Amino acid sequence: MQDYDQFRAQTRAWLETNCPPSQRQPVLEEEQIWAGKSQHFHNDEARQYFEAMRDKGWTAPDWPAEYGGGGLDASQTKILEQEMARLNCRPPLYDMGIWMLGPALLAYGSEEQKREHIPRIVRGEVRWAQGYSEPGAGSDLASLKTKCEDCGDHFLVNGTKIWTTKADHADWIFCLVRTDPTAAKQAGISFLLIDMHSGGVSTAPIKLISGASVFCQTFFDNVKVPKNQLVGELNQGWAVAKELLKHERKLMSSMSSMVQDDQEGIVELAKKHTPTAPDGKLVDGALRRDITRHLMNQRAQELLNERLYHQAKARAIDPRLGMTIKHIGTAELQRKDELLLEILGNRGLSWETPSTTDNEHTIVKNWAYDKAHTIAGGTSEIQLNIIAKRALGLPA
Amino acid sequence: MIYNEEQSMLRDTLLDLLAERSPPAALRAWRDRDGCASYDNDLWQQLAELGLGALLLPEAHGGLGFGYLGLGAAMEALGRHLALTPTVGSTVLAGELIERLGSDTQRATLLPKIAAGTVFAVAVDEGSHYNPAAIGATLEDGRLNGAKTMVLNADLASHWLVVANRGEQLCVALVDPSTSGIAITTEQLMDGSCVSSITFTDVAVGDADCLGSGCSRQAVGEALDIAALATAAEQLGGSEALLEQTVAFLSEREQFGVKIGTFQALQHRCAQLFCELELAKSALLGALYQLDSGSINLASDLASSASHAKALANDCYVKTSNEATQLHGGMGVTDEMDIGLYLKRSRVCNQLFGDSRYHCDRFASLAGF
Repeated sequence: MQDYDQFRAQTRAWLETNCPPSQRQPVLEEEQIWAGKSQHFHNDEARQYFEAMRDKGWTAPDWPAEYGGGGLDASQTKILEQEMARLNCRPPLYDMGIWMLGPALLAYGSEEQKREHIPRIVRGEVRWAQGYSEPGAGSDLASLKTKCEDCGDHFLVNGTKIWTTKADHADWIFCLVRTDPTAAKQAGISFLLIDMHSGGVSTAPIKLISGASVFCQTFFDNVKVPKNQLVGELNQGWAVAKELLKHERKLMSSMSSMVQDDQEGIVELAKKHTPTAPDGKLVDGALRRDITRHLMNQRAQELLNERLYHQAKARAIDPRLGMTIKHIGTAELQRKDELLLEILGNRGLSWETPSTTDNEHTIVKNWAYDKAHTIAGGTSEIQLNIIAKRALGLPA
Repeated sequence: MIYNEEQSMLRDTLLDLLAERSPPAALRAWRDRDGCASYDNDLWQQLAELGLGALLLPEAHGGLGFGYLGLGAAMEALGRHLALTPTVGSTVLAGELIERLGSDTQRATLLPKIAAGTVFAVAVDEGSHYNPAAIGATLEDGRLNGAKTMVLNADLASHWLVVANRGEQLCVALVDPSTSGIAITTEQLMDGSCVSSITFTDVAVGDADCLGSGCSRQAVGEALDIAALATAAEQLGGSEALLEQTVAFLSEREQFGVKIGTFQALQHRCAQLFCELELAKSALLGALYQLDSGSINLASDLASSASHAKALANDCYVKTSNEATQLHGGMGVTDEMDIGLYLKRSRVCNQLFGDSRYHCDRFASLAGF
């Protein structure tokens, strides 16, 4: 029986010592600490915080310690998350390797692959990108065409991937490639790790409606890939991909808490921009009701996550619940964005004008950017298909 | 936030018993018979033997200590089968009021009765909307005056509890239904359940029959919020049953040569209902869990949690019943199907212990806007 109270106390004390004040503020996009060769820190405190967390393995707290992870069990991980949330600690590391590849490698990778890649992911030495979607393969991902031929001592890859997040800064990419063009769709796909610095790899950023360019198109032109970079069996990549998608959906739904957007709460903003009665109530009854609805849904989402945690602890998980999280979380995030924009009124129309405050600017940019959340990582329509068929058992 | 073994077993036992003894079709027959009564006493006696009177009460007073999650499990089963029982009015509301406001003597006398299945009724509402903050009934100089509406199971209850103003505070008067000065009308509602309107004119209430002193407004509020949570559990049990019946219907019904459940437009409507159901359930289970674990601050958090859960449950049941009616096509508007029974029950539950207007307004006020 481990002493969780003691662990909580130690964790709290450790975070209070090792998480400097600047790392307890809501994180701006340019202050996020990304992994890899191009890693940079906006100040010394960010570096100290990252290094302290990295050395404890708390960049990946629940991964096995033998590969450099934190080695925490589910309850300890939850305690760490709670204590970090209590102090508003920023995420110490942003990387697709942490969020997605790591869990899949731990489940499907060879011992050699785990030893080579997992410790470097934990330490933030490599920035990973994800190569799944293609211009012709979005929701119907299994129709992907990027060709991977067996050339004896290596694979040869040709094709293109799209929506590769920050691929222009990535060191490595994990890709789904077609290794058997004759097999049924899912059956001819393999999961491959590719060094972005290999000859024949190039990227082109895509400008989004928010003005940001977080996604790229990535091109593979006769790229040679060593054979030991295949994860899982040949033509069994779909199973690995599904494991990863699980993590991606969780990630997308938690985006709202990760990218701390509005530094002012929605209620405070409404009080600033719309009339209030002497008792502090919003005079606009419709707006008051809309905000209430949003806050209620947001709180219910938190409780849904709590419920999943209780189920996991009791080993009584209802698998149907997890299927709802991405759709619910992203839809509510967009409702919030729309409300914030509405509250700003005509101040929510400006686009990088000198009179806009930082907060207003963030709200407007998030409103545009968050439109991607109901598309990326499985559209809401796909999520609803999954719920209908797998959770409710409606006929295919 | 999950049911333990005893709580799950309670729910399953109730589901089995009700499936045999009181399926939704029994409500149709109950509605259509001559006369009107708020519940079937034979059924209630059977349920009381299973402990429905004693869910929450401490073991010292004959209770079973199933906890608030246990209450949720039981109400979920009752909601699924549309069973009319005095559980919310007597076990929950009267039980909580006595537990929270009664003197030691009152608790020792009255709580074992509730536990054994003796039915109490509580009169709170006045006028057309639930608003316990604006009660007009008064108890002055030992005389009770006022007009109450929407009183649950008053027609059959042996004891009434009447919430009234006494000076600046609220008090709860224990009234014998046969006392002079009382006029009661009991009428059936759209769903087949019955509620009473009662007027009290100079009804004599002795000091020994008053519950509550000091800050009783707070305690009355707590009891009402727990009744709202119990109602929310019933609503979500009903919503879940409706969604299952709708999915079953869509998986059977064929048009254009295919099962209509293969149509994406219909699938997405069901999936959306499932999401809203699970959100509402999470709000409810969160509140019940907090009550059981004692981690809730009764003075500051219960009202907000109850408003949260009741508002989401109201909306979930109303929406699910509307969608279920539409998705059943022509059959959905026939009295032959059970869907219409749930549709009507959802509207009654919606008004019990506050509609979403009330709870959204209260939630916002408590949050300071």
